[in-house]
Amino acid sequence: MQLTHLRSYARPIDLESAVELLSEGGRGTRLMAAGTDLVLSGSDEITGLVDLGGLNLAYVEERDGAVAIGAMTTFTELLEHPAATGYLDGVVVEMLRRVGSPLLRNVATVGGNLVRKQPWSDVIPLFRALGASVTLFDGDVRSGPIDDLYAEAAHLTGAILTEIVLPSQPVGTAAAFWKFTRSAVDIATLNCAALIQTEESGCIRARVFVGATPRLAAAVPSAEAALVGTDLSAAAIATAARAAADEVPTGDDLRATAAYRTRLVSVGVTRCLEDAKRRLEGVTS
Amino acid sequence: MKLMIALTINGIQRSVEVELGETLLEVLRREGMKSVKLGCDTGDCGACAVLLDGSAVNSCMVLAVAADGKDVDTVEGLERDGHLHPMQQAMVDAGAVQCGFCTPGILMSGIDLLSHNPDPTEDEVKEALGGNLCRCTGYVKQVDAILATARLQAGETDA
Repeated sequence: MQLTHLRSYARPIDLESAVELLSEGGRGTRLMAAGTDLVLSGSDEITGLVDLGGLNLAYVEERDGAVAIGAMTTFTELLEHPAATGYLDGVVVEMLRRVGSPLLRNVATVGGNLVRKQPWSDVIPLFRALGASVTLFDGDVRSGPIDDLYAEAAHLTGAILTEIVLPSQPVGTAAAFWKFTRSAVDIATLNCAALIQTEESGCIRARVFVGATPRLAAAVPSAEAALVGTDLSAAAIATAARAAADEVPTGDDLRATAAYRTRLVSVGVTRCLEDAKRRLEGVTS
Repeated sequence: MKLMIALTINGIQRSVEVELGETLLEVLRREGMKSVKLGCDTGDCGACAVLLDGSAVNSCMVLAVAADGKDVDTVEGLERDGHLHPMQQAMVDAGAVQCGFCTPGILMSGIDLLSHNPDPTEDEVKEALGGNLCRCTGYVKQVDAILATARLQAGETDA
C-alpha cells in the first residue's frame, strides 16, 4: 500500500463540491487526477483525496485553430485526437509519444502533469513554449497564461485546473520538442522546446524552454533574444545554443552531471531550432 | 479506513472491500487474480497491466477506490469454453513464454492494441509493448505472436 495515511476519499461530480471538499479537508487533502504520480509518491502527508475523475473534464476540442484540452484528458486521448495531430505539424503528438509507455499514457492526464510541476515534465516546456493559457476554478473561473502556474508567487492552493488552451498560431510559426533519455521510457535527462515565428524580415518571435536541468523547465531569454531579428541561419542557431548553454543553470543528479547537462543544453537547443526551421521550410525530417 | 467499491472483473460484477490507500494491483491479487503480477510496483515493468475500461494500464499506479464503477479485465477472463484466447495460443505456438512473469501484462497490452488497431505494423506492436519489460525472450517471439493473432483475426473476419 502506497498511501498509508489516507483517511478520506471523495469523487465529486461538480466543481463547486470539489472546491468545498478540498477546503474542508484541510492540510493533508489533495486533488487527484489519475493519481499515477501521487500514488507513487507514497507521501505520509496525504490524508485525504478529492478525485477529479467525476467532473467530465476529459475532452479535446478544436476552436478556430486553437485546441482546448480538458485537464483530465489522458495523454493517449490527446495524442490520438485529430486536433492534436493537426496542430503545428503534430508537435504535441511528437512530445506525448516520448512520455513513458502506452501503459502510463492511457491513465496519466495532461492537467495532472502540469500541476504536479515535476522538473522532468515534457508537457510543461512545450506547452509554455506554445504560449498555452489555462483556466482555473476556485469558486470563480479565472483564465490566464500558463506561465502564471510556474511564477514564483504562483498560488494554486484551493484552485482546480480545468482546461488548457493551445492558441491558434500565426502563419509562419513552427515549434519543436527534443528530449534526451537513458532509455525510451525513462524520464528526461534534459528536454527542450522551442517555438519560432517568422515574417519576410526574419524571426520576429522566439520561445525557448529547457527542462529537467534537473530543475523545472524555464525560459531561456538570452537564446530567444539571439534569434529575434535573424534569418535563423546556422550561425544564428549556434549563437542561440551557446547563449543557452551559458545561461541555463544545470545540476547533478543520478541521471547526469551538471557539465554533461550543459552540453545537452547546447545540443538540445540546436536540434529543436533546426527541427522547427525545417518545419517552416516544409521539409519533413 | 475501508470502503466498498463496485468492480466488474472479467464481466462479473463484484462488491469489493478496499483500504483507501490500496492500489488496484493489491486488490485484484487479493480477489484471486494472480495473473496480475507485482513486479516493480513503480509503473516501470508492466507486469501488473490490466484492461481498465478497455485500456491497458499499470494497476500498481491506480488507486483501487478510483477504479470504483469501472470494468477490469485480466488474463483470468481470456479463456473461453476451455480454449485459450487466440493471443494466448499464439504465444504458446511461437514459444513466446519463458519464465512467464511478464506474459500476462504483454497479453493485456497486445489485446488493447488489436482492439483499436487490428492490423498493426511490427513497429506499432513494439511501441505498444513499450511499457512491458521481459528479461527472457528478447521480445521477438512475443511481437511475432501478436502479429500472428492479428493475421488470424483478420482471416476470421474475412471468412
